[in-house]
Amino acid sequence: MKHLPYLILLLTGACTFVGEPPARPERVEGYVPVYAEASAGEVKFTSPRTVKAPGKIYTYGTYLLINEVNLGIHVYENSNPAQPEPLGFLEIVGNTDMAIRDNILYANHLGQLLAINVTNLSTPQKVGEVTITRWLLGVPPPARSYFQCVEPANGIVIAWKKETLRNPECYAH
Amino acid sequence: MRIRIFALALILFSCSEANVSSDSTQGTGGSLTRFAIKDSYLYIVTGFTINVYSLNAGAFNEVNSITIGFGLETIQANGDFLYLGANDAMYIYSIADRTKPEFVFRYAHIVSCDPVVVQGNRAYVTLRTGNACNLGVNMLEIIDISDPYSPELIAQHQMTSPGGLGISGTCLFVCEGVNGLKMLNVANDQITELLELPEVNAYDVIVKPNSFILTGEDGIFQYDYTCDPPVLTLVSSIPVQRADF
Repeated sequence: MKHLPYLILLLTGACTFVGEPPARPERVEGYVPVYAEASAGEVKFTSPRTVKAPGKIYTYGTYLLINEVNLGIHVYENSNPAQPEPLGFLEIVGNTDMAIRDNILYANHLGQLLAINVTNLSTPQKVGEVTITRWLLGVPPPARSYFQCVEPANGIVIAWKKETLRNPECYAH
Repeated sequence: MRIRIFALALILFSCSEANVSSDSTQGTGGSLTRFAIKDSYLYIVTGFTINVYSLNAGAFNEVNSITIGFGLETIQANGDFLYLGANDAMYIYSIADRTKPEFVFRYAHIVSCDPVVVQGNRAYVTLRTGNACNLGVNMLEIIDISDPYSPELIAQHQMTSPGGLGISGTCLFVCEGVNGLKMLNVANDQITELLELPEVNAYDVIVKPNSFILTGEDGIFQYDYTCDPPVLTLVSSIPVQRADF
């Protein structure tokens, strides 16, 4: 059971090796996890934002969708690829993946799967929500840094905050 | 001969397109997606499982969850099969019964990170050494999946740090992270490097017949291309304003 947090971090999809620190300094700059409750945040469509940490991309008709890792989805009208026009930002906390069929967007919201009717983008309608069995995918800690070990019981990790750590037990290689 | 192969590739390509459309409309993701739609079912790979969701109106629900193993990362649906990219293997599952994915084959290789894309009867897989995957190799592989129950490796090509990839016809694009994007010709299962964009950070790509969309830490770039002769033309870019921790 002691290894569970490591295992979960290994399964985050990014190739970050996590394990025992090379040494255990008494005080060191490192990262602490920011947890999100599965219920955090409502889905809403807001004005366009700057792209900061682009993740996966998706096309649907003339739309281009760009995931902003763990924050939501940038929506562009891309009928003229020479000038993609930003339409807005769909706020979905914890989002990394998406797919659309018949105007319904399926998007992960932490460990939940949302079905959102996007026929009218400016007023997205949540039409369904189910729990994704064993999603367990959080954000891995920054590589080559000490971090406070993850407690899965606290929820899914959506970000890492820089802090001074005392005797950190976890290290990302 | 060259024209015939190209025509054949076009036919294969249009066939796989035709399978996707049917009456309903759905979108297109990159190779690193964890979501794949087939008919009215959505397949999600978590770290351990394939989960199946019914997308029928009024019946949106998780209908199955099958434990596979560790390190699942990507999924592609093609015909009656799912192709899963994992840390240690490419898995093939049958979805002849849409609600019950059934194990078909585990194409194992040394530990590495590997998305897979499928076109016709070929699977294209990238294997790369990463921070966590340093037992692996940096390789592009073409696997014959005419018989998904007995896939066969038919070509290999040394890469630098391959990850996301996409294909249209005989033109294959491979993202190599900080080492940029490579355009390759895979006609006749021969892998030939055509062009590269070494300056751009390339994470994943969506390839269409004459254009592609590339995403990476530097931005989202749209290109027009031709494979023969090999030409890449930048059409637009969406810049990234990087945030620091």
